[in-house]
Amino acid sequence: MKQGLPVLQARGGVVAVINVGSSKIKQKAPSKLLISLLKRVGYFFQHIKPIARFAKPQTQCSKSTPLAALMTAAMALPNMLPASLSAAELEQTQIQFGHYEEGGKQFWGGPTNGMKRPEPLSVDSMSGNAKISINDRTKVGIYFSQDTWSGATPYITTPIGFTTTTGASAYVNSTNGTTVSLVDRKTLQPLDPVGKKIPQPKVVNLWTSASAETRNQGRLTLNREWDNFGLGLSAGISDEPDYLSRTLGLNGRWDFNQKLTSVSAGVSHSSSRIDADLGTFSKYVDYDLYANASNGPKIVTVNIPGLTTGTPSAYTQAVRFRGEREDMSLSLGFTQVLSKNTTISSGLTYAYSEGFLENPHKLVLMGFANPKTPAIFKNYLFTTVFSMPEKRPDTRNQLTWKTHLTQFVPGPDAAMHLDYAYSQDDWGIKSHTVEASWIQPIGNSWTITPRVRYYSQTSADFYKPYFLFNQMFGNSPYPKDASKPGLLDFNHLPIDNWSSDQRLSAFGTRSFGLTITKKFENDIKLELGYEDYLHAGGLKLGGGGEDSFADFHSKMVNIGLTYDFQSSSATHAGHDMSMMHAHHHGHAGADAPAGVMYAHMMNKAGDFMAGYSFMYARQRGNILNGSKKATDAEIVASCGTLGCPATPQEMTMQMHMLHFMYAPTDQINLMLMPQLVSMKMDNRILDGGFYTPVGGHNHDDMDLSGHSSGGFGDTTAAVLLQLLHKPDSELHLGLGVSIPTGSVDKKMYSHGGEFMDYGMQLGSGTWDFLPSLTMTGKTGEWSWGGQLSGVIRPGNYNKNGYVLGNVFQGTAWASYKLSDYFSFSLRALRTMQGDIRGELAGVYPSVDVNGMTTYPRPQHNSSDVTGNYGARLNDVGVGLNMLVPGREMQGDRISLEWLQPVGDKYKGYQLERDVSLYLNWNMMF
Amino acid sequence: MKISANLILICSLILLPGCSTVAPWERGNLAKPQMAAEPNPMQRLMLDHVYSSREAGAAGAAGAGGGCGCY
Repeated sequence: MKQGLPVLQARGGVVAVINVGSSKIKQKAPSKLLISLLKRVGYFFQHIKPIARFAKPQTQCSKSTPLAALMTAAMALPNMLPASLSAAELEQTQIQFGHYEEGGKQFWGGPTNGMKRPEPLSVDSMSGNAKISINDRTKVGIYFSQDTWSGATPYITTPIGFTTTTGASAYVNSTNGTTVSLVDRKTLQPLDPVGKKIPQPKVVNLWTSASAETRNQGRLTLNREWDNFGLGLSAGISDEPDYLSRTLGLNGRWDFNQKLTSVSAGVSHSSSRIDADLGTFSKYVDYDLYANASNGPKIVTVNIPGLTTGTPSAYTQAVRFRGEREDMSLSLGFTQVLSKNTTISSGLTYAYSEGFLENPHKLVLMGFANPKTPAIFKNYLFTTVFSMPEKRPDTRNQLTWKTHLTQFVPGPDAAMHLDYAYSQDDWGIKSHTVEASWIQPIGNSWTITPRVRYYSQTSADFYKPYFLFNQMFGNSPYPKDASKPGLLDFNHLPIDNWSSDQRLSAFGTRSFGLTITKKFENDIKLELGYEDYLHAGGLKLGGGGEDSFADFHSKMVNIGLTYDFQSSSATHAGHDMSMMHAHHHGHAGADAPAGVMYAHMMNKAGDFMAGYSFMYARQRGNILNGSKKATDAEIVASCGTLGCPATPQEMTMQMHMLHFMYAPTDQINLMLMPQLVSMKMDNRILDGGFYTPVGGHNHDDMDLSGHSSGGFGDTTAAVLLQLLHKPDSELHLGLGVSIPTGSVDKKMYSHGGEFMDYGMQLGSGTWDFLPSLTMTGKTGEWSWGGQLSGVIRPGNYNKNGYVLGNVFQGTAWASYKLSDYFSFSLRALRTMQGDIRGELAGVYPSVDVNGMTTYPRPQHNSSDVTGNYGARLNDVGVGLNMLVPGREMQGDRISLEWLQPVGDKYKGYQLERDVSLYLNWNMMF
Repeated sequence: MKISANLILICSLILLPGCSTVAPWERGNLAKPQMAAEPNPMQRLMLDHVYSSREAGAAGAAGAGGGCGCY
């Protein structure tokens, strides 16, 4: 996302480059080929930057004659250069981390109270935003966000009387017509099916836990302003494992009445594709309605790598719920300045949705009491229970009216924001939202904003926590198609739509929020927000909300950093350009490749740097033993007596990292680096592989297709100490510590809830020591560097019984300055990863013959085997560094590096590595 | 209720422009950051996402959180 600007600016220059760059190279001696090649590339990059040169003719561009000639040529072609691009400038960037966590849910421990409370839903998110002004009137916005969530969600709502138990787990007793539950003959209250047959009508949610899933969202906006008009275009995409959505929007604004009044209108359209993974085929769920759908949402069975009745098979049946939906909205509103202290805005939005509007993951329970239950069972009626996916209407029409009042309060210099929204749809849901906030500036740099919000909705017409019928359908107590024993005949159900998703129930919510912002030097704004949210049936306006079984409460924290480049250029306008260059640009180490950490030190007390790094790494291909391809038989043999049914065939890792760096003195830098990681592994079935259930859990059918994890990783805090500082070289020592903020508890909920392997955990689970020694230098157009670094883990096992291997790395690089703006780097890297000590425990206890309790861990995958870790890895990398246009004075850089493995040697059996990519953006303040 | 909502809107549209004239030099307070329609837009995106995946009232929502229906 952050490469938007250079790409945009490149367009003007590329045209002219092609003519010039190539003519010189032929006469060069072969020994000088590399240099000339670099130079040639240099010409290319020198000309990628002409636009900024035009904008800022004071930059030293007249030194080289070919360049000057080219500049003249380029200037002679004004038509080739859209004039509007010449002022393109980064205006603002924002980055935000957030964490959301639910709690306070009622949990039923099963009939023996032996069920473990599942982990609550939690979400880690990161988002970034950049605003670029193309000219005075045109702006481009780029937005990106990533959310990773994991934890438990309710999959069905049931009265306790309709459940059955297996071990300590409870399920809905819905074996499609082959078992019966009981309800009281008079009150129709569900009864305990065993024992005393006493009423058990209490309704509970049954939960399912899911391993982490990640959604990536991106949006591009273009805004154009005229004197009294504004026009905006936006395009967005949201991608997650089950859901892909694309949105286009257009909005316009017309100001009149001396800009005291604005009228706005907007239209947007999104298309979404849903492909929900419902897990392995369940005989307790009636999929028939959607399995036979001729159009609209459809349930299909697909083959995945997994276990079928305990045996590894590439053809294990899994169920997927697929469909498409369209959403369209039209809005119309106005904003009015009421007085010099008050504005009001109000608007109507009409939203239309069509297609797959169901929640694919929430099942519905239907009970059919038999009114003809023989009279000898005088107190109760036999009741057949079915579970099935929900069904909502194919369309939804919704009208929303929102009003926002902003009132300035001169005394405390504060602003009060009041919001009210009303919505109504043709599903029967009416809602009211009231929100108020008070924004109080304190001094010049702080603001504090308390906020309250209340929301209330009525339920959808077709919502019930569960459905109970007491009637005959011909000769049968439930609609039956003779050709499909055990399944419902959905054509003869007395209802058309049904849902037990509590989002469609009647409830209210209240939230309290607090936001604190602090401005530094007029251009950096730090924002810290907190919200406490409570969802409860009892909070519904006028009462009559859903019972308390669905209540929950959640907390959200966000921390954001906004950097305003416009006020920054105003602040720094008086600085001498050449001095700034010497100060920031000339650093040894400044041109280090993107993948090198701690390469660059700030040498001036009080300096502050914020940076963002993105890393992508992929492993793909063969399983290697040493450096040779292993056969399936060898891999299975390495898994020992427990065996392995599967082996990884692709693994990807994405990491977003923020760096904050501060120089308390000229020789010492402090660094703090939080990170967000997400990982995904895809498996294949091993020939001759097998699975041994241990820990008392036997899962006949299991999805082994892969799993994903994600969330906040370990946080690094480090001190850099300058040992040697000469004009052209520098030596510094890094002493860091890795704080175990990353989880080591990630579990595979499709694999019986066991721990994921070592590599899929988000952190090490131990406090680790991170030493590094870095030497950098420069000679003319070349700069170079070398670094030795390590991750040294103490002997103590983490809470799950292991400690990852130590890591030692050595790297060396050289980079060549192609132009004032670009440099190119080459790097070699060697990594040694040590063995894992200890052993990851299993989740479930097992008592052995001696009465000892152990926690054995079954093996699903060759990467579960502790011996399959540790390696000697070699990489070579090429990189490109760019000085950020418009930020030359500060020395901001964007760098990109591509690393390719050469000659890895693995211990045990491991998936071979493919590519690693690094993107790094540093901003100096 | 739909009709009443419309009525209020229409009335507002007719009445409001008449209520004041605020000269450009009197608009200093309105230009302050705390008076921006949304002073914390990034946080608002996160909050709106939570609300729209949990509540049916947000335009186009109805618990249309993605994927697993959780967030």
